[in-house]
Amino acid sequence: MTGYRIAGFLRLEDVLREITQTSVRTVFISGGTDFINNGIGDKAELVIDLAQVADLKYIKDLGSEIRIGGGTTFAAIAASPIIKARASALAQAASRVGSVQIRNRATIGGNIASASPAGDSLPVLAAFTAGVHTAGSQGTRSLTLTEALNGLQAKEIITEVVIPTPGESRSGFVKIGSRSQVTIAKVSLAANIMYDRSKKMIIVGKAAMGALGKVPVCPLTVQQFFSQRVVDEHFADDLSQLLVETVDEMIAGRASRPYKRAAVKGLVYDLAGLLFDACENN
Amino acid sequence: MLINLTVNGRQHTLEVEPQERLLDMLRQKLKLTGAKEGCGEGECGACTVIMNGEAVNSCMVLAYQAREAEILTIEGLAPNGGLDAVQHAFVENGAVQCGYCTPGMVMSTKALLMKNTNPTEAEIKEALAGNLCRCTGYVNIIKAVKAAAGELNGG
Repeated sequence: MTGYRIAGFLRLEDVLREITQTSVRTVFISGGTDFINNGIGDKAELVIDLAQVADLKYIKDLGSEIRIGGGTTFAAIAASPIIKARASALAQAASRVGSVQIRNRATIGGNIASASPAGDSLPVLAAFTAGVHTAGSQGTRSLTLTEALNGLQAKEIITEVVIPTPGESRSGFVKIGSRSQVTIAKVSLAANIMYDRSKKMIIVGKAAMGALGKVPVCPLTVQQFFSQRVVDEHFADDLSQLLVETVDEMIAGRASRPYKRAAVKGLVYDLAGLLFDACENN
Repeated sequence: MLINLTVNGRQHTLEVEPQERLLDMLRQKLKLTGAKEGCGEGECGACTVIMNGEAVNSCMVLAYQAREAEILTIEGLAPNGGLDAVQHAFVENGAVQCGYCTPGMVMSTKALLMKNTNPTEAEIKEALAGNLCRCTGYVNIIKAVKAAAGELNGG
């Protein structure tokens, strides 16, 4: 047991007032699914509970973007009609985070703040080029996902995730771990594409791989591959070749490389199935 | 510090430590020992309770985070000494062997059936994916959940 004090608030403005006024070492707890396991409170003097802050829990469709409050749980994201319709990869990723019990508590803001390489939402957010809004004792900031994953400032919380949705896109998320459910990704893959059904062609797209490094990897070669790419019988083979090359480049010399380069091939076929089912049937 | 919460329909005001987990508060302060500690890290589900209508791992929730919450533990399913439909179905279908995982399994099942009284087998497996059993092999547990759902739907 460590000696931290704990405080909780119902409104964001009260949280911000507290972190502005306090001078002690402060950390945050939201769902708590990483907090106790990772000993996040061990060196803190003050823990602020965000789990009951109502104005961090929302999903808003603003047309050209979706805004998600940092305290929104994965259960809420997975069940959201907005997310299912407009960012289905995020709904798929949210529904594969841990177990029902974990999803009922774990939040998207916590997933980013914990910055686990295996975080399920992270490749999806990277594929959508999502932004992250924060607030803290130094004011508010707008960050890229990579900036947020590389470290928040002391006493800074993730208030909002912004997912650009400029047009009608199709997206998917797949992962592989040691179990079929409640599994930590050994490799994960997400893609977001704009598709012209009449020409069976991808107009533009972006893919991101998780669990390969500290932040999701978005290969430029895949973005180039997706540009004006007709979907033919070679599509999945060609894409998997590019992603295998990415694995080789990212984790050259690591013991996990042979497994991950084989695993990613399978993930490409799973992802292609998901994406084109969405393209052809929605 | 003092928190107010409702456990199994009874209101409590309890003194809790900042580091205290919901599981410890239930077991040690309220002597509700149905919820078990298995892994202590959200993998096994033996500590599952229902918090504000949702299944949670009580080993991963700080007691302080349960302020003003409504908690349902396995002791609250049948307060008058009988068996809840889920408990009855587990007994009738041989879904209990050593019993250590059973309170968590029952509470995850209860949380599922509170929202979905007619779950598919896939939905049952998903709802129980966070509950590990090393004895039964799950077959009879799935059977019990189906039986409980059938009971709730009028048999």
